Amino acid sequence: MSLLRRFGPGLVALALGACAGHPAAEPPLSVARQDYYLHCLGCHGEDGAGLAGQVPDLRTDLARLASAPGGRAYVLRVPGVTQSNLAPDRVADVLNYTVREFGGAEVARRIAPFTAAEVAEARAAPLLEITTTRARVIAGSDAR
Amino acid sequence: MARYDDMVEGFTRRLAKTVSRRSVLRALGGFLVGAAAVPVLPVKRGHAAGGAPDDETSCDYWRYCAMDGFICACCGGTARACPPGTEAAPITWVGTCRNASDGRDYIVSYNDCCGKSSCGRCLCNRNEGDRPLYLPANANDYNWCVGSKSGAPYHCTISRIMGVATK
Repeated sequence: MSLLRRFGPGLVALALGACAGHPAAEPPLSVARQDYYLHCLGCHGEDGAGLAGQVPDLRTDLARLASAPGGRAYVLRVPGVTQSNLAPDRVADVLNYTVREFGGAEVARRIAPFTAAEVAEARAAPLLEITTTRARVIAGSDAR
Repeated sequence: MARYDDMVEGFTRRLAKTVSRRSVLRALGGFLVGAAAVPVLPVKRGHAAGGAPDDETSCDYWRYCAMDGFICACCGGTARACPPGTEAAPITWVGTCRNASDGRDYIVSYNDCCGKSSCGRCLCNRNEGDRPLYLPANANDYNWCVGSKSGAPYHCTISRIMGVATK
């Protein structure tokens, strides 16, 4: 019997087994998505829906507030942003990620990207009257 | 390169002419039976150093690195699903755990399961990434059931893998 006939079946079987291989390793999350998961998801949820009456719905509230008079400054000063231990550029990135991910492309086009400089400036002026400021911004949004 | 291609093609054609499909299946079956009888390679199981290997009911399970509560897998649920009669709280604590079996860090969400009294089994107190209450967003001691529809009764905690952490 030739060598090929003797060892051929085993060679083919081994080759098939090698081709079965391992599934490709899952790629890591992007930095912005990871920062959302670690710093925002706990309250706002994986889908941004938040909690009715307690935690804002990022799918609707973020775009509405950010585009209202005084709203951009309010968004930059909410506790979740100012109390974050992320560097200003990472905060800006996760804000922009949030706008794109939950507001969609059309909303992202309307809202100018947040910048690290804006975040740093907002941190120097923490917002203490959160509820009243939010109500004022929403009233301004409703009046438009 | 072309010569290499010709050599491989020639070998493959000779192999196809001399080896039948039945003989390949016979050889494959022999390998499978042999591998089942004798472990061919050492198996590295994912578990914390000195801990239980891949045991969802053990506090040492790698994905429980910040588990501060009762393990739902001991309470009628699983590592990632709440027991019947409870619901996962929408407010959650998120951290990272390292899986020793692949050396990667994973984002883990610890959701409290709410609506029944405390399970009382498999209590863990691991706190990787936990911070004191003056950093509330990073503290895992809160009862996160406050955000659930069923109210505050805390029953147990699950751990959901959200993805691979980036360095």
